[in-house]
Amino acid sequence: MEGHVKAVKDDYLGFGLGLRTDHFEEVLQGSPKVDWFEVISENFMVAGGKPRYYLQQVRERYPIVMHGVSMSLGSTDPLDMNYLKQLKALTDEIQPAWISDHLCWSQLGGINSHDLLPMPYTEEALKHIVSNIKQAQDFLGRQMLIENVSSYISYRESAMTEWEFYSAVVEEADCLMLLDINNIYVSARNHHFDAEQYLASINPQRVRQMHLAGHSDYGDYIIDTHDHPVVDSVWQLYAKAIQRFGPVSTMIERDDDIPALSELIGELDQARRISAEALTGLSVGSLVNG
Amino acid sequence: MVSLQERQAQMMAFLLNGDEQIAEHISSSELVNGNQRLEIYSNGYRLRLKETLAVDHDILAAYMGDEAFDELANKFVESCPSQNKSLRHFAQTLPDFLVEHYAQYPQLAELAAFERRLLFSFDAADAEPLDNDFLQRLAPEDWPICRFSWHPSLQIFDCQYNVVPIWQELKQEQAPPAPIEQRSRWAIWRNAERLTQFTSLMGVEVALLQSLANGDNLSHACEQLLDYLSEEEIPSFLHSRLQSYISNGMLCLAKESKD
Repeated sequence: MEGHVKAVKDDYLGFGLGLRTDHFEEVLQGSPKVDWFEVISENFMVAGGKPRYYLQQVRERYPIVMHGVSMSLGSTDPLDMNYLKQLKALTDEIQPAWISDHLCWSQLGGINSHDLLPMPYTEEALKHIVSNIKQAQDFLGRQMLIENVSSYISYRESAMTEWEFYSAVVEEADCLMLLDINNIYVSARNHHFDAEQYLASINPQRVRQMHLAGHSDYGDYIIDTHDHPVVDSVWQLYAKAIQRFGPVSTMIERDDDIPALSELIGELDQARRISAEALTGLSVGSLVNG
Repeated sequence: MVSLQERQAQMMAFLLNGDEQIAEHISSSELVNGNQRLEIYSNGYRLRLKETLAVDHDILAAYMGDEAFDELANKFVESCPSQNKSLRHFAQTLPDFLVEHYAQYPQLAELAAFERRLLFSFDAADAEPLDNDFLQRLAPEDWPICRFSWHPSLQIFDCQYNVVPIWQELKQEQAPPAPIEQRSRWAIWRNAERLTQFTSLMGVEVALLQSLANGDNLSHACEQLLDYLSEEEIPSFLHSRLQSYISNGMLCLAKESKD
């Protein structure tokens, strides 16, 4: 896997959106100003039908990246080889720019929580998830991007910070990072850590993609709901991330209360503007409010 | 310190059964204690599964009403944890669950089964349906040996209650008819525009379609129809039905010869 790290910046895609059912027709008919689309892999791991047809059509027009939500890389259940085979088949067909999944576990004893459950940040958990990521990468024949999740609990036995654990995972598994800026913000608020310290600890060479999203703020804690626009605090953190990491392919996730495509494209234009201005060295406050 | 496997088992036991062994291993803060933090996950777990039921079985939900459907969803989520990677398959055992637990309302299980059949057809594999003029191009000498296969999305749904009219009325946001025992058979499939469709079938059509699915050629399929039709009636019946199935995108050419 030598040479992967150097390739990070060569694969810059620009600014993308999640491809959602509500927008299939408009994407095909209107050729909207979106540089690329991210698809939830599992939504298309079906035998055939309309979603697969639309995905093939969109793929002919736009670069695609595939984002998985159920590989359950941190679980002590063995990796689901049937799932990996289906994922590989879809990957072979769609030829995505890259594929990603999460730094989490979802399933145990064959029961699926359908959630992105956080890992304890221990040496045992580190070794375990690194081994699984390596196995998945070997099977898929490609380097994966691993995303940090929003979390609401932390285990007392954790011996590392999240960013120390995440960094160690990507270095030891030789994978890349899908850095979710909203998730960093959400977890920082929930666990009272410094989001900027998190960013400062990340190796820029490992960051290939960023996620932005909205959340629900309950005051004492925040839940990562993907049903609101990106908030100013997350835009500010995004600007700081771009200043640190340089241009990184960025997309906005919206999974609930999905608005018109034009509204999401407007939000994506804000990401373009903030990224461009962050790269020219303007102050972060002026980027978000100006 | 317990192993990773044990810690994950504790977390899963909390999500599934509310077992609180995990709680002492979760950090609290001044604002939010460990139990409150864990509840975010258990609430999310149930909400996610119940939303899946409500989306995949929206007509059943409309039929039962909010309160009764919510009660069903709670029971199903507690009794049948998801064993699939995809939420799409979470409720695949719902019809069986209704047979077992709602036996006094047998139409519920059939209504849920009909919705699951629609979902199956929506996601079924693609295959090239026959051209509309296939029969016109078929040489007379090839008719007896010609074989077809079903489009992968095609299914026959056999029900004992009037659940399809119930489904249709609710889909139009109209009051459903009262449940009555009324056996009917339906073809469900995905057409060339990738839209899921269904149509009622007579017994003789079921016999024809099942014969074709068994790999019978048209000569053998005609023999199956003798139980329903006179010899003179069969050719025109066969032609009209085949043309209808082909026009609707229900049939493909058989991949392999049986002879």
